[in-house]
Amino acid sequence: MLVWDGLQFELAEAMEVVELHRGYVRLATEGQCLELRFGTEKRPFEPQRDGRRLQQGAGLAATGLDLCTLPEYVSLTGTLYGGGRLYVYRLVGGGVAALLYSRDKAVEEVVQQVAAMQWTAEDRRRQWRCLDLAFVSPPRMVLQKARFAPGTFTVVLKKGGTVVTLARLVPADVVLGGQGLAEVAPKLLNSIVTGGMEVISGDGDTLDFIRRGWGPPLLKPVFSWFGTGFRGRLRHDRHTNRLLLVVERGRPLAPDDYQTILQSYVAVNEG
Amino acid sequence: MSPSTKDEALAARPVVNGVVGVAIGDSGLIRLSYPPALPGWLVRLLPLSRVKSLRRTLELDAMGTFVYGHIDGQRSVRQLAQLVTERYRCLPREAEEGVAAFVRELGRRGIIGLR
Repeated sequence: MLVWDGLQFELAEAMEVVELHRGYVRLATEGQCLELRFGTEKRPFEPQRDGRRLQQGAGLAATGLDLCTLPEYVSLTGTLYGGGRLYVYRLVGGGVAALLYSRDKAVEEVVQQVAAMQWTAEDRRRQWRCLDLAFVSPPRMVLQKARFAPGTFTVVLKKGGTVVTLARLVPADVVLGGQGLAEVAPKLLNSIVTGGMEVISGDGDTLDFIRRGWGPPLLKPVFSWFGTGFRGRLRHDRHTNRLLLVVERGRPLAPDDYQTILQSYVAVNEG
Repeated sequence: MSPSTKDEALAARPVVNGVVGVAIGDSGLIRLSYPPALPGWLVRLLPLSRVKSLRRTLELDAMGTFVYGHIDGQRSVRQLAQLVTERYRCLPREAEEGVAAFVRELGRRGIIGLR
């Protein structure tokens, strides 16, 4: 299952996530490719006008999209348009998703894939689950970027003046190289923030750190509010052999929101 | 000939070049010594004894040591990646990409060949 940027989508067997961005996922399986573009429906989707625009963007003949005739045994909570390689599904909850296949697909096949799709609006807490990561983001926190490279998976989220980076490093035993979290944390933070950190607490497998805002001591609370420091947590998940790092920069999140991210960020089995 | 698809690349079997020297460092990591690939004009200019004596060294990290230690001419890149996945509990695709990049680098240096 993939839960990304508000969209929940069941992955077919052997389907692999190839690319991830804000409102976009590219999947591949056995020589076929599926691109998903999705987001909040800002105005009611018009299959002819908006469909032609999508078809042109996809390099297809701009003929407009028709409402799909569903098989009798099927009912969808949303509305499905399209045919051939391009389909658009309007989800309950105000989301809309465009599916572009590398080959023509029959409606029956597409229905199987969209039937389990769910949408969570931006103004709600959102579940995220991709590859071997899962977490919950506070309302109105948007994806800024995601990067996957062997050994590292990084997701950057933004809300107002706050930037939260979640990084996953594997294998933890090699990254740690026999050292403790406090020794390794400064090196891991180097690519995300500058400046030294102060350890608030640590129990061997979890390390909480902070760098307080700069400024004259009496004005530090003011500067902290403007967000000149950072804080976060580094956790060693021994069961999955992963290091999970959360770093919050800029204006501090409300305590509930910050704890939501910290408590929900876990490594999961892929799929 | 270089593999042209991902499947072909993963099915390739690395074979260590016979002239590569292997030493184990104090930390248990493998240190390789191998003849550098010199441009033809330099080989023609230098005495043969000098060319033969030139060696480069490469110290592998823990994962590199693990992978290199399992290269036996029979295991494919895919099988090596599977071993990495099992040993380090990383995602299969990460192991495949990491091992493929490692094998590519060793090949670039002339330390291994593919068959």
